[in-house]
Amino acid sequence: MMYISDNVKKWLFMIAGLICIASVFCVTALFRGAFASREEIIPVSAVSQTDESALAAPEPEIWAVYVTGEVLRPGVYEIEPGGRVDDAIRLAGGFTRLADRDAVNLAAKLRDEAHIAVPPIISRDDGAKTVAQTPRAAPQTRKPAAAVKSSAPAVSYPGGANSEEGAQKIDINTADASLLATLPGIGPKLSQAIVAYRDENGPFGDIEDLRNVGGIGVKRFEAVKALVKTGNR
Amino acid sequence: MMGLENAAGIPRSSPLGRAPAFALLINFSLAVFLAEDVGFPFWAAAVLSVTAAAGWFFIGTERPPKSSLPVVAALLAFSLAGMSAIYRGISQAEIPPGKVDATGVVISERKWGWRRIAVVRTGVRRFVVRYGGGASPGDIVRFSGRLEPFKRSGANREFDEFKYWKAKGTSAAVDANRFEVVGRSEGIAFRRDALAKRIKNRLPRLTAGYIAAAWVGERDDELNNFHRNAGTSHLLVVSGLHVGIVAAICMAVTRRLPFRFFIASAVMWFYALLSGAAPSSVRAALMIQTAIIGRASGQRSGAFNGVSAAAALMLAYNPRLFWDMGWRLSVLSVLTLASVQSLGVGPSAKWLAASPAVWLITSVQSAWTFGAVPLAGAVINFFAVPVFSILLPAASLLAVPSLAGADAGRYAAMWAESAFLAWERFSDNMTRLIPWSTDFSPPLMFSGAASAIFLFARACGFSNASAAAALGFNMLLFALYNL
Repeated sequence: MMYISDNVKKWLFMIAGLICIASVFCVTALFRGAFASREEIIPVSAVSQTDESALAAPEPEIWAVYVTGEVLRPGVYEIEPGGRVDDAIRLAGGFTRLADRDAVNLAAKLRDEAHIAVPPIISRDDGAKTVAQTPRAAPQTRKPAAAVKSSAPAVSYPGGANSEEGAQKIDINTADASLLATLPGIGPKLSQAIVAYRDENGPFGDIEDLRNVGGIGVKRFEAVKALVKTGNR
Repeated sequence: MMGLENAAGIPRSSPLGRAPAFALLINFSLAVFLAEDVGFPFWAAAVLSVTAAAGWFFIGTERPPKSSLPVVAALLAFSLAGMSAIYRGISQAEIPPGKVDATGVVISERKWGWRRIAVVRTGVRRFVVRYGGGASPGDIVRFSGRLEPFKRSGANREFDEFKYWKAKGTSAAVDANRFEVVGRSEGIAFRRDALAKRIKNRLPRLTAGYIAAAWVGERDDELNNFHRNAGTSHLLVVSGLHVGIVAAICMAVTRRLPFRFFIASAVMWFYALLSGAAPSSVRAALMIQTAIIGRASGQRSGAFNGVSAAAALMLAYNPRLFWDMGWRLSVLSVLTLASVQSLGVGPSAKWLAASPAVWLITSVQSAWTFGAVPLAGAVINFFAVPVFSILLPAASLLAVPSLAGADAGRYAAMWAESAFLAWERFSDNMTRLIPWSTDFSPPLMFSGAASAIFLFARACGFSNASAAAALGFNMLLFALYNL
């Protein structure tokens, strides 16, 4: 019988180990993405849990859209697939008298999880009426709608929809991320960034401070500066 | 001094003798990763993960042990059982979209985006119910609404709702169109909630925050942000520090009583449940339980092997814990601490090495998930664990009179408040002194992975040469894989 010294055995073990590890890396790298993703959804009848007796058959597909801004009843609404922006605005009770109707393309086609933000017509300090810039005329895909409801408002402006003009502005020191996300050019990520900046550095002293938030450059700031305020300013 | 051989007669200088459970942890973690994240068929994931675990053993084995066959057989049996459990866990059918009308107990309740959510345990499943708010943990509720599977994320660092909630043992989300409280359960969720309310109402702000985090696992947002900025979030998570304090106090108090090991175990598990049974606390309790049993039966158990065994057992029970950040960070940090303790250096060197090593190894995961990781954490944590291992039990003791309703108790609670305030000032000054933070980057990833491989290899009994070989070879492959 062939004698193998401990020293040789040690090297054999190490080489075997390195081969094992290398083969795992190689197989993983070679076959990464080679297998189709497995959908494991199975029919209700196959779920053998007593609790699932409460489950009914899947509903027909329905879209959920989020309507915010100058509508009478902002919120998330269920809508038939293939609907238009006009349908969603109707479900939300129609425009308020402050809505910038020209900024929204009522004929645009909807899609599931769309967010329709109706911008207000802004009153400038000099008294002239102007239109909010960069309106979201077409529905945009946002984070998945979290709920489907029929009437409760999802957002509200401080001071209420029909209060004085100054109160129509969003207070960047008190507004939450979902309200900030209704501003033109400010999506969910930027609104989160504003809230994070505020949490980290304290309240904004002036709306100009918004430009300190990463991602808000001159253009974005110009688009929102007429729509925001800090406290009573 | 640790013996040269373990109970099975295998040299402690080999991974089989020093930390056999670490191979199981490699085996289970890799199997879940390959099957769930890479998308391999489970049989392939199982074969590859066993091969990797075997490779780890081979590299570290300097002198082939003569009596290792029973241990290898036992490990293979554990591996087989674990693989079966993991397969059962990850192949569980998803509930298809539809409607649900069910009754259950609220386990937890919190804000989630612009709505509130309640995690409700029904007869056999847990649901995440999105609703308007108003329920408390312990409430029995009836809810109905549209049932939706969790959404999966395609991007790497994006929040993945599926992974997040599956790791917490929930089945699906429900958009409730009806949600009503129909009763009140007297179970542990109710007790936790009642205690949390009492803590918030009767203790000063900081003391309430720390005591609520330590006793019932409820974290105050403001305190949470403060600790995140300082890199000391682990102080607010019920983990080995907290469970260890409870077990140690119990063992000390009951040292003259019969059944002291049993009493200490019971109290420790009650505490783990009361604090919300977070993965970190269950991991710690399992590990300490192993140590208690070892001590009761006169057997010694290595910390590194104990953590590995506890973590592997938890993965076999719920494979999707692999995605839980609390579980990952808890396991990584304690494995690192245990491996630093096994280094052949003096106590001061171990103390100096522990905090930076834990920071480096866990910051890869933290930066990947949460973004910037403060550098100050590496320094503050030199002091955090020793200070809080005294401060937390002392504050708990000082808080008892107030919580019991004694008016004079607030004077005692103010002592605790002053101590926490002093810690906050110290921590605040340190973060001002070291204001830098680091985001996820390849150098951070490679240095963290290299440190982990080297330290874990040494803790498994690898010689310096074997550890260096394992490190070099793995890093080379790791680099090629990520190219």
